[in-house]
Amino acid sequence: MGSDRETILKKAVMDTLESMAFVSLTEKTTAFFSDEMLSSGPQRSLPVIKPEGYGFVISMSSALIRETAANILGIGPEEMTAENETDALSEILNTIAGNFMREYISPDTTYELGLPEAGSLSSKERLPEGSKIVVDCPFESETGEYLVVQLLGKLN
Amino acid sequence: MSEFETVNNILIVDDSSTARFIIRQCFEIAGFRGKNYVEAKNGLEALESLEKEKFDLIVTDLNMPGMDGIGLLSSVKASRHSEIPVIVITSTSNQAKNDELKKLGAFLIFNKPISPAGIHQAWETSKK
Repeated sequence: MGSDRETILKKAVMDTLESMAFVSLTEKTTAFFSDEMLSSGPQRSLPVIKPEGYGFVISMSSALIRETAANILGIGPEEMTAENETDALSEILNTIAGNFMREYISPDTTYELGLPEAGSLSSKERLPEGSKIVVDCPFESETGEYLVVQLLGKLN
Repeated sequence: MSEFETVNNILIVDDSSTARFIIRQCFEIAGFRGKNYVEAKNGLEALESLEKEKFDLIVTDLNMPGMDGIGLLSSVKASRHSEIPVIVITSTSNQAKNDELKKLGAFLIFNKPISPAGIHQAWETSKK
């Protein structure tokens, strides 16, 4: 995966949140978010089956996932259930990953995504040994909440 | 009669409840309002529904646990339900995948996220 992957992933994240949930995002630097902040909020991960050795992780503040899921489902945030929020976060990650892969992979080649799962990708269990964060895309919503999408895999 | 009026029963197949909700909303806005929508979480559930009820249209995701969308599409096209149009909505679509799905008998293919306008336009175009 080449050098323009960061640009493609950022666009995939912003386009997906805008079109699915009418949520506008502003790009931030990785220094804006602490590891503790990211690990405390909801996370979902999704491995790439083909080409193998890559995966995506999404981390979002509880308030933003509640707002986003409510927008998608057209209900008030107070009506949201934990299941609604988890399912919406999975579907958002699935759509972001698909948009990224469609732009990044040659149209002559098929690609396959795994199923979204809770938590971050474990490089030991689901990715080749030595896999690291390849692209880190942190964002802030208009309400000051965070969203980070990471592409993990083998470094070239 | 509008082409939309020839479709009454629609089977939506996706493991995500969020995706099923979005698909139904988009299809209603696109012209399929007031239809009977039945939902299934994977290909196996969809095949069970097909044995219980008559459907005019199947809308399916590809990536699902149990039987996936490819399995469902292949099963439907090899069965007595082969005349039912199958629309695929997926996050793993590109030209190579579209060619594969068309060979298997997919009627229309949409990338996620879908939009009502995209569905409406593709449906109208497909009927000309």
